[in-house]
Amino acid sequence: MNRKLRIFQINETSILVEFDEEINEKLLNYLLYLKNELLSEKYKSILQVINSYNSLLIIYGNTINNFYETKSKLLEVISDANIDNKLDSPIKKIPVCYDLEYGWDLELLSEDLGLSIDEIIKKHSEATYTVYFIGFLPGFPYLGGLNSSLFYRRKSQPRRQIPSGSVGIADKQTGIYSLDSPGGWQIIGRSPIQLFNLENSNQYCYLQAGDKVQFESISKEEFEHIQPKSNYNTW
Amino acid sequence: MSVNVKQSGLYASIQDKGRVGGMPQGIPISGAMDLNLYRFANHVLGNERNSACIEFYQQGLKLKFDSPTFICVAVIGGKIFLNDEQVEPNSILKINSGDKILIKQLIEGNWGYIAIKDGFESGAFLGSQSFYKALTQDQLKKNDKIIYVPYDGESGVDFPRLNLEYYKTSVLDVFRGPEYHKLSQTLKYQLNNAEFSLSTSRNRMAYEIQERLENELEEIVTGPVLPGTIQYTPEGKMIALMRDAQVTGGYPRILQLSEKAINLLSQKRAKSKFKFNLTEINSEKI
Repeated sequence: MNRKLRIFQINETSILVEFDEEINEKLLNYLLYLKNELLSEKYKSILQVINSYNSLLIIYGNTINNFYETKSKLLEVISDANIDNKLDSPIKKIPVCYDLEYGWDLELLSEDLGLSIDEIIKKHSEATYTVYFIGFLPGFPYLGGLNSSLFYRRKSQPRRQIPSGSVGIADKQTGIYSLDSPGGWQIIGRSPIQLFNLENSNQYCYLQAGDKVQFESISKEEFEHIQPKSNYNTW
Repeated sequence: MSVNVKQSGLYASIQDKGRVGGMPQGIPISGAMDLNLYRFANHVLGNERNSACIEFYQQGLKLKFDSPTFICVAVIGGKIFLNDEQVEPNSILKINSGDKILIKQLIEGNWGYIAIKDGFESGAFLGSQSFYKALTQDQLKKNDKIIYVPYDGESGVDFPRLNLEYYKTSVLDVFRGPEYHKLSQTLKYQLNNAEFSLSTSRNRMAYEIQERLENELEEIVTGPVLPGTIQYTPEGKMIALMRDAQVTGGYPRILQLSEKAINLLSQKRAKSKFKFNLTEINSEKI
């Protein structure tokens, strides 16, 4: 497949490969395939590969001395990639309490979007989402697949402190604050699970790029009963 | 055997060259703000290149050592005291049990480094001891203890001198950022020719540039960013991301500081002036 792209050297050690395409799951699968390929044994000079919606950032262990050579190697990998496969990820369930105590912006969204709070909860929890990448904070997933009737802009002034577990909406995305942090997303609920856990030393983040996610609406009582040590938190 | 933090000063932390492999999980690279000065501190003691140092900011850090060793306090310019006596920075200092070192004040620059023979020992995540809030503690606090292996041997008498010329420039080498090409000719001209200065808003994540340019660009689809990426906000602010930079961002990435320029900028104080020097790095559109 011929995709429009540019290969751009960012600094002494990094290259950005950017595809000129709308955000879509096919492109994500393709990016994740390339990312795995570039991280394989064959390319020892590559330290890290980070994907976003439409680009890969490739960080090398040493200064890139010959950009054109490096670029032509990358182009080879890209043109050899011949995949049409779908990522076969199990669906990870994430419990969310959409009570007004945690869903700080539910009333605002309800009014502005012309939907009842129950409709918002239903639309948000019935969709299956795809994790495009982890960014912004350690463990913070950018989820695609939000029902278009729930699209809503960010707050013009970010809040100073959003509690860890808060579930938010920003434009066409939904996401979960993995740690306490300032932030500008519209908050519609909170999950009791810990998305970033240093005790899981082989995988600090519950969610990884390419994962599928569904939200499960839970009551306030259930929210309070899911303890930090529950099965949800030992992935 | 350990060093005890008697006064924490501001933003003191353990730092090394930073961590690799965490970015896909949203974990920043981190590492010493001024990698050049950090490496120099280790070099003076003949340490391994990536030994962990204590990084400190401007003034007030006071440490007490309970065992003999050698240290180097690397600063661009500053007043350092060992047991109430002023001592030479950027040299080898012999430490005996009970000795106290005080960073009275930096005269130049923002960040300094204390290297210790064979490095400080602390918990490592993804191969790095660099402090980062979500992984370790955020900063050193009063009464913290940091472990080291005592050293009672001799030190060499020869050590390298800090090349102060490195810091005597107000020109920062930059490369085009991924969205640079979207800027108008006027903005490009301003970036290449105008003088800029830092605001007082800065930390290990980002330094804000004081001057504003009239904004012309829309936000971008969230994309990867790096230490040294200069973002351009809707209000026309320029934000230089530093070592604890988040891994993705939604503001246009207009410039990218060279490795050296990140070190230099990290040491610039609020209001000091600098210019950008746009440098070609081998890139082209295809």
